[in-house]
Amino acid sequence: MKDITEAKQSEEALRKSESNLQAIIENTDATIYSLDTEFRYIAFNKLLHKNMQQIYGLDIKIGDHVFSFLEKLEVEEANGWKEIYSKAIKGETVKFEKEFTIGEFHSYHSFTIYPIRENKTIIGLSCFAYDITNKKQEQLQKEKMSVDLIQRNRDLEQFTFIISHNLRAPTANIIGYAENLLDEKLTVEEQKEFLKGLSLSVATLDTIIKDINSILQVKREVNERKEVINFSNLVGDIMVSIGNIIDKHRVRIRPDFSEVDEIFSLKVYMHSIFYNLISNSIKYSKPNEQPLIEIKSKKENGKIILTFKDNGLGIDMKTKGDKVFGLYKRFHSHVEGKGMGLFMVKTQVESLGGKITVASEPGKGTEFTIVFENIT
Amino acid sequence: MTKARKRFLIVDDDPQNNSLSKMALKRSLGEVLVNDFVIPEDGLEFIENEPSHNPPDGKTTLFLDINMPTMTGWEFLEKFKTFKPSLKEQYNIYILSSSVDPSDIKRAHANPLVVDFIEKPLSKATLVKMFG
Repeated sequence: MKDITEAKQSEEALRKSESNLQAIIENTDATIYSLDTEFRYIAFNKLLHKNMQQIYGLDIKIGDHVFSFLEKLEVEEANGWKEIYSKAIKGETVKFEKEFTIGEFHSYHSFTIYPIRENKTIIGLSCFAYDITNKKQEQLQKEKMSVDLIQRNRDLEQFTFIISHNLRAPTANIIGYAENLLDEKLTVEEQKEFLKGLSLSVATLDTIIKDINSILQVKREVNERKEVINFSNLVGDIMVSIGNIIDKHRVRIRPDFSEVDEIFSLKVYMHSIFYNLISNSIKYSKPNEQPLIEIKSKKENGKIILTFKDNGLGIDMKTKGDKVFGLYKRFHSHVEGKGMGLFMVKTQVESLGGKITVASEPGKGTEFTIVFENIT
Repeated sequence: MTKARKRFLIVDDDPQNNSLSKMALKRSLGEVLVNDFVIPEDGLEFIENEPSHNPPDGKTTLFLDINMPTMTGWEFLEKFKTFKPSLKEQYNIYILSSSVDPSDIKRAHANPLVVDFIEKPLSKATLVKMFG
């Protein structure tokens, strides 16, 4: 009789203690669960149950194997989890952050998995996961802001450069002509010549101001409507529009868009990018060799990669590499041009979220590579 | 005996600037000898291959631009540095630039081959100060 009472009393005490513990693990915004040495659930709070249902569609019960959700995952990720639990069961406290994706929704959790010890034996694992999505998003936003700020800063530097060099050059000439014109002893011819120079310098100044305006436009226009653009048609249109130059220089253009022939983008920019790169290759072709321009598109990990390769004069990357995309930079004095094309190309590629790089060797040719990420 | 005339070289890709500079030289100093080059490489070749053009009054003044398409003024100076001393000592080099970038001015002053930095346009006042 006495024995049964004691057993009942201790059973009651155990139930109470379990209820208290359950209340504690429910009264938190953390996901909490514990596992035995076979990785089966000993206990978990409602939050875990809810998450497992939401993320994996699983209705977990005490005694279920924790790996039951692993078959819902990619092999690589499943192995990652197995590794984490195996480490912990050997006595190591494992801490890590993890990203979960449900449809459009991303969440970040910070996990800590502790071994549970009784005397010196590990009898299971206690696991805690905190939702750090807000913190993470703030962090990502800050990182993005830094990148934007660095870019803005570079733009500002570029504009300081334009003002101190490019706007100053015609201004200096205007001052020079004006000073000469003030001289009363000028002959009619001299006066005429200076006036001609003056008006030419003013026109140059005007062109530069308009250039700056169109560069600033680029930064504003990105939000315009994007559309599906067909590469083959784009190259076709450009070849027609510069047909006389292509004929004159006997240019061969070899497009290969077999892998991907479309992009969802801003047509004005894509046209300008293709147009400038093609006409750049023609401008800097070798005088004694038939120009060949190979344009190829590739798709890699959701990225669209475009390459423009020519057999032209090439650029010495060691000395000019950092200036290829600079404004008003030209590397060959025999060719007409303002040195604006490649600067515009780079600005437009970057406005569309892409990157452009160049590889070149003098006498061999030049290859531009453009990578557009996350384009669907 | 011919009158000793001053000699000048101008290296600048902007032909308008060169004609203005020539005009300023003529109006400030009278008849002078001027060669101008819109391609810096041509200027270097001229200096290297005509070593016998000893100016009557000692030195030739070289006005050098900074921003040029094929070769910057700084690169020009690097090449000039490799010329033999007897050639180099015939020149007084001035940077003549439209730049108002303080880093360009600092860089010009720091270069031992450069006498001074002159802001464009080349004026009568500057030339009078230089040659009295």
